[in-house]
Amino acid sequence: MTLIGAGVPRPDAADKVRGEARFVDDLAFPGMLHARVIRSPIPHGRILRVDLSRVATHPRVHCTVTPDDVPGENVVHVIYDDQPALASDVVRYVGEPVALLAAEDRESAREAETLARVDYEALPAVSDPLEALRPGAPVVAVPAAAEGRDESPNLFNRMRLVKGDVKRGFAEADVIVEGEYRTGYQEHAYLETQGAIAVPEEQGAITIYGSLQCPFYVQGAVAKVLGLPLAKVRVVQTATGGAFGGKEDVPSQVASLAALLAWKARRAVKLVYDREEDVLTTSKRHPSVVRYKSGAKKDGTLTAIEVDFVYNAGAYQTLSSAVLWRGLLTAAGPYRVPNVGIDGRSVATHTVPNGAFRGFGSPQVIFAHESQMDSLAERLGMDRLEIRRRNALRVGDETACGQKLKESVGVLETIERARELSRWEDRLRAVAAFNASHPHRRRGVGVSSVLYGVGLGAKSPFLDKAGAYLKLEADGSVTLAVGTVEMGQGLTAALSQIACDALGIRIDRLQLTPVDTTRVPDSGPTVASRGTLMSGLAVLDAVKKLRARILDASNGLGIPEEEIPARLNEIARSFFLRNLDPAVEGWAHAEPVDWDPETGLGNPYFVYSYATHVAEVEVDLTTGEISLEDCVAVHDSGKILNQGTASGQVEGGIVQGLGFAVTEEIAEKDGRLKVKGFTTYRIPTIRDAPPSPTVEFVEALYSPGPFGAKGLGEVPLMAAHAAIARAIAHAIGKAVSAYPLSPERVRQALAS
Amino acid sequence: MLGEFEYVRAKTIKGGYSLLAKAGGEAAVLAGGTDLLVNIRAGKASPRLLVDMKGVKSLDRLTFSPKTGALIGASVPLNTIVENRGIRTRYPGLAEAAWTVGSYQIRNRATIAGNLCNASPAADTAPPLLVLDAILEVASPRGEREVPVRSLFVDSKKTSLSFDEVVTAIRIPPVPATTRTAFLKRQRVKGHDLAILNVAGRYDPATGDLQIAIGSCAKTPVLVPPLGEPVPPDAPIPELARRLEALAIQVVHPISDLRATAEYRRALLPVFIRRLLEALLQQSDHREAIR
Ligand SMILES: Cc1cc2nc3c(=O)[nH]c(=O)nc-3n(C[C@H](O)[C@H](O)[C@H](O)COP(=O)(O)OP(=O)(O)OC[C@H]3O[C@@H](n4cnc5c(N)ncnc54)[C@H](O)[C@@H]3O)c2cc1C
Repeated sequence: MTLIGAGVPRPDAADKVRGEARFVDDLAFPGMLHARVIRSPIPHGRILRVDLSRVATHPRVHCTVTPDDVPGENVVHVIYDDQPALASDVVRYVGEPVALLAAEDRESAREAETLARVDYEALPAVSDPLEALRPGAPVVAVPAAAEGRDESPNLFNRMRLVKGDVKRGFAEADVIVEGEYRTGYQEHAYLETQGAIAVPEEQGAITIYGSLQCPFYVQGAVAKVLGLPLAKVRVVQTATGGAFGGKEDVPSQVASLAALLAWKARRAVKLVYDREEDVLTTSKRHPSVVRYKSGAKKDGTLTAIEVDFVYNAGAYQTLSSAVLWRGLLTAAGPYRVPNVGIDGRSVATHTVPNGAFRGFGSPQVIFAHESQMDSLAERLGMDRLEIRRRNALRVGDETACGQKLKESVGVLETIERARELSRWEDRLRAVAAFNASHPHRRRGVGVSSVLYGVGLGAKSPFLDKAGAYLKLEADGSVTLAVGTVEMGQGLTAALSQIACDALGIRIDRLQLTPVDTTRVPDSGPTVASRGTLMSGLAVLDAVKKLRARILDASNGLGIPEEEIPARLNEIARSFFLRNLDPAVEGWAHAEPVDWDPETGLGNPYFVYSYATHVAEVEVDLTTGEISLEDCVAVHDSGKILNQGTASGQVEGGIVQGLGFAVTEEIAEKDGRLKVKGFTTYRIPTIRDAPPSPTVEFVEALYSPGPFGAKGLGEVPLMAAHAAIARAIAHAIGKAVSAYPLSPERVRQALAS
Repeated sequence: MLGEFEYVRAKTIKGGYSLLAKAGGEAAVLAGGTDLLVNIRAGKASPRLLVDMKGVKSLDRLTFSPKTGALIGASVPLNTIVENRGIRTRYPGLAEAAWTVGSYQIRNRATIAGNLCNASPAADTAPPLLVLDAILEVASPRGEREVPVRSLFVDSKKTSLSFDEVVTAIRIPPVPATTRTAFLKRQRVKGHDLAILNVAGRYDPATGDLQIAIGSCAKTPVLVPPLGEPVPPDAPIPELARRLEALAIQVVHPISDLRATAEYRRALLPVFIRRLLEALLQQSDHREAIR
């Protein structure tokens, strides 16, 4: 029996379909209170007075919390400790938490919120990152968090990558193209909003139940804000209705706020955001400005690139330094470039702190690098797939940051397979014929190739580890615990398959328990497309240990090896009767990585995933409307453990990429986001998805990975949006340089 | 969050309007609730009393005959209207408009009465009902009266009905078998969405009678003033479209909102008038098929 690669149904699917999965808001504890957060209405100002006296007199209000009530450090711990849990003197963005209240019921909590009086002295604010860098701009950043403060007080981070000689590279080029590209906010739009419940426990401990990606981040943050040892903080993940990066750092804030109230009230406290609050006050994808210059020889060979990019980080550091780092290491694309100069800056502004979002700082530079490849192809009169093929990285090549690729480089195969599956040349001809016969409509085809460094890499190598706990029950069923989470991506299926395959048992004989920080050691965050890879390895390690014990026991019982799966209950029973230890722990850590911040060179990631997407769009020239007609998505994520969930990830990524490139937009004025919910923020619907996308996996195996698997989760979105944008540019025959490519923007481009 | 209100399920029409009258403007009729509950949650409406009329059996009827037209009870959900064979064949523009409202789940609850009484400029069923000259049957303590849809909309979110009036049905007059109707809607995504612009038209090639109405382009859905002369089926569309656009801009005032800019709406107007004329005169198919 092999379960690996099969389209095994997700063990968590039935409950979710039936509505039986319990999300945070479905849970209640005896005496539980309901929290509301009193937030700043202005982007920048000094807090003059916080008057909660009327709140406190509300008959249903149990308690309020201000910075004076914080027993530990008043910070939301992420990377830098610049963000306070509750602002105490200055507010830096609209929606920043200032005070908290807990009431007996949700309606009363809302009512009481309106009784709070906070006086501010409004200060000048800046929301554009380029303006924030100008001398004399209002200062946003907490000085200690502005690594680039010598240059500008609002420069959070500046990172450079320099390889070869860029000047010489451009001198050697036959053509040079330059462009400026802008992308806007993207909201995660997970189905379930942010939420956590904090429950004070005996012996001065506390448990957090929450919708989250990173239980160990939350554990650390809550311990810090309450001033508790880590052992006193337990975090349990509840069924999580989507995350996409939005539940990487933000749950640390949500849980910290709930914990502060629970600690003071000595009662359970639930804090669940409503949609408007969630959209306005939680992290989004960093808006960007990317300037890109590329040079190539007549035959298309890249000679040099020079990239200068700026990300709007918002008011606090949160994850921006890591987001910037990934942008830096993705900016060259999946190509061989001998001479490289990349310079990235993340800038503080008086806006909501931006954070992790599927792709994590890479989609912004991907839009740029793929647009540049097309510009080069156009100037050289070359086919767009061909120029990518010629420059694509192969085993033995060096990446832009000087990393020699030892194995598992499938980008060339993705390009070649995408050419075949999309019937590239035929399609280009068909599109030309369509355009010749339709005066008011244009079709276009776009392509995009990407690389993705799997895992956290050299930015935080200490996080790339994972644990597993595996227990043979007395009846031969198996309990498994891990430290990375299911958030809709299919991890439960993948890990259950790995364990059941190795033990030779049916999927329904294994139970993966809710993720709980007391079950396994810190396993790092469930981000960076690392869940299946890292926890998969930990599970394999545990399985290996348990199998050895099972083998021993079966020898003693005279059970031949091939009969073990069928007679596992007998063997398990003997463990019980003979007092054998039926539980094991698995452990995994990533291969070593290294990176030099001075040069930007090194081996920042242990392996890369790749993809090539081909998209076909139709543009209505009179209205500027865009329709995504087809998409061919070819991915190399190493071994695919579950075809069904993997294809689901790809199809979802295509739709999310469509949203990023075309429909999703948040206007911002004076630090205020002009968005309320899904009537104003338009995510694509299922009818906007291409009717029958083609998804295929070429499997360039990664030998240290579980069965050769790498990571997949983020890559589909990364490849999709740029293929769609490039298809639009192809259709209208004009440059496109800013997302979203709304009908209005398309009409402007057409008029230019 | 929903504030506090009382809920009463009326058993008769009289019972319904009597409650409204007694509450003196602080009550609201609850039909599907797909606007009302959203408005209450958003704090845009705060009625003390909700009067649910769905218990009144007679409001649940939809009848159609080619001779007398359609009578759509105020509680009939949009899905029932979309699926009705008579409506689909005789008033396809209305069926199309009803089908584009929200999602299937929304249409299981939402009604035409609610769509009209909510009086959104973007109400999708308004343009087809304007061109079809539909009539609301209304009951109140003062008796029954008829209100043409053409005189219903007073302002954005404001109708000419009085607080104690209950719409009992929407009557659509019969049209000759030759009459064509069409509805076109521009939205931001292909799935459910409110209109950036919606237009409906009615045309009879036998008489040359042509009427068009436009939504989402003024404070209310508006009927475009008539051309004043019959339009032959082979009339040149570009010229006709220009004349109608000139008439239309007398009654529309496009604004910018989070769905589109005023300029974009203004730019769509001639495009949609032209497409509507193509649909009506040449019966070309710009619509998405009703599923
Ligand atoms: C997700 C979503 C998507 C939507 N999409 C669309 C769309 O695409 N297009 C569109 O046009 N609308 C849309 N709507 C709005 C709404 O669904 C429609 O306007 C619907 O037709 C309202 O009907 P209802 O029966 O739900 O009205 P209700 O909400 O019950 O009532 C609306 C108003 O009409 C009054 N009213 C209702 N019945 C009567 C009566 N018999 N007599 C007197 N007054 C009455 C109510 O008091 C209230 O003021 C959408 C709404 C949602 C929530």
